[in-house]
Amino acid sequence: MPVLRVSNLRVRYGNKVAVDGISFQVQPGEVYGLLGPNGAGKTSTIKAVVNLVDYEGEVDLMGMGRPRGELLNHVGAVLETPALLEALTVKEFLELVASVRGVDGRRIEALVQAFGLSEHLGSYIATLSQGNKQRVAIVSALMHRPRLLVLDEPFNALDVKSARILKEVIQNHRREGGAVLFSTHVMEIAERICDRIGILNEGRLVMEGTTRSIIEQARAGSLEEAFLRAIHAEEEVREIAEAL
Amino acid sequence: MRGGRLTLERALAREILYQGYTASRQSGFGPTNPVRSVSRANTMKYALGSMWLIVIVGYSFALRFERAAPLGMMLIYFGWGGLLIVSNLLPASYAVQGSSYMRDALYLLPIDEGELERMFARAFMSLIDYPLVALLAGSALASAIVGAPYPFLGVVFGIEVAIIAIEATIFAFSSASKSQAKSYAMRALSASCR
Repeated sequence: MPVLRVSNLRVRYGNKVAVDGISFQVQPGEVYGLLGPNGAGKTSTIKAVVNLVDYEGEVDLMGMGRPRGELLNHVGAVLETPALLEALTVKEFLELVASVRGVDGRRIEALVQAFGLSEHLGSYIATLSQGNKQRVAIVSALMHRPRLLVLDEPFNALDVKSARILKEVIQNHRREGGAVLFSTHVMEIAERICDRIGILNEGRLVMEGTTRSIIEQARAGSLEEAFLRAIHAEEEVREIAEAL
Repeated sequence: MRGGRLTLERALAREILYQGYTASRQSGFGPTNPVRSVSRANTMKYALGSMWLIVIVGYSFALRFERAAPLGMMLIYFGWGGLLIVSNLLPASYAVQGSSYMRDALYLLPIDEGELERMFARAFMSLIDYPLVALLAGSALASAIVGAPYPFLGVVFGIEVAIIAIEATIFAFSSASKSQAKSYAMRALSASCR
């Protein structure tokens, strides 16, 4: 049974359709990457999966239905703009999340050290840099060992060391049978850590498969080339490059 | 806000005050010490509440000598009741309009939506707990001094209209994409009214 099953998902903001009837599944032990240009619907898909926006269609977590309430104990999510309570210190926030999720202190301590947050424990979240806020969000998403990790552009603000640690965490999570859904627009990251990739363009899933199968489908030489073909941007890029 | 174990409810109340304080600042930048700004907001809450209590009760003594018409009396107390509640809740409404962090942070936790709603309601209530007590007790005392129910009735109507006005502000200025935050705040405030 898939850890996550998304069927005919549609997200609208007023008259604008951000996600237009996409379907995909994430299996246990699988890293599924959502790729797409800016405005393709990646963040809206991620937000729908964790029930942060209204949507039509179906999002099913391990056959138990929509991830909400108690079911969110099986999900760890990091949003593009980290969702944190800014008036709390890092320590207060992590302790609060841990008490709600019933997590013991040793696990948090290990994660805090791994992501280099020890020296920031007493700092207010409002005063942290974007990268440090991202690290706090990652620690709070990992502390309860969720079955599904949902990460929206998780590497954006991270330094090299933290990015490497996160990659290792994702690999370990996969080895332990967990599932990961993450969005990125960095091809190298997708190529290196995703088992399967879904390419989104204008709210639609235009291509899906392993890196190799996507390259083959697009008759391209690399994932980047396949991606540009899938979103019909290859010609445009060439013309711009020539004009410059 | 200080002392004791930090519960989610207390954290939420602190966050609402902080986000409201930040949103209502001209620069839009958050202060470097959120606890200090929250503490200032609380001091203002107690100071204003106490001042209102003195004014409400003091004015009722004046009314004993120069008795006003019932409608006039009610209007004065209606205005005072409404003003104190609006001045305390307006920053909170900025917080709900201006920031989706709070909603997202709470929605990602394994908590039943009904419980979240109740938590929001209690957090909102904590912003006007002392002003409410000051207004209701002061106006009840004023009614006893005047020997008529108008001060108390005026204040009660003022509180209700103020809460409805804040709900309307949140509804009018929240964007469609924040519909969940909006409905949260609306239902929380309605629950506060009840």
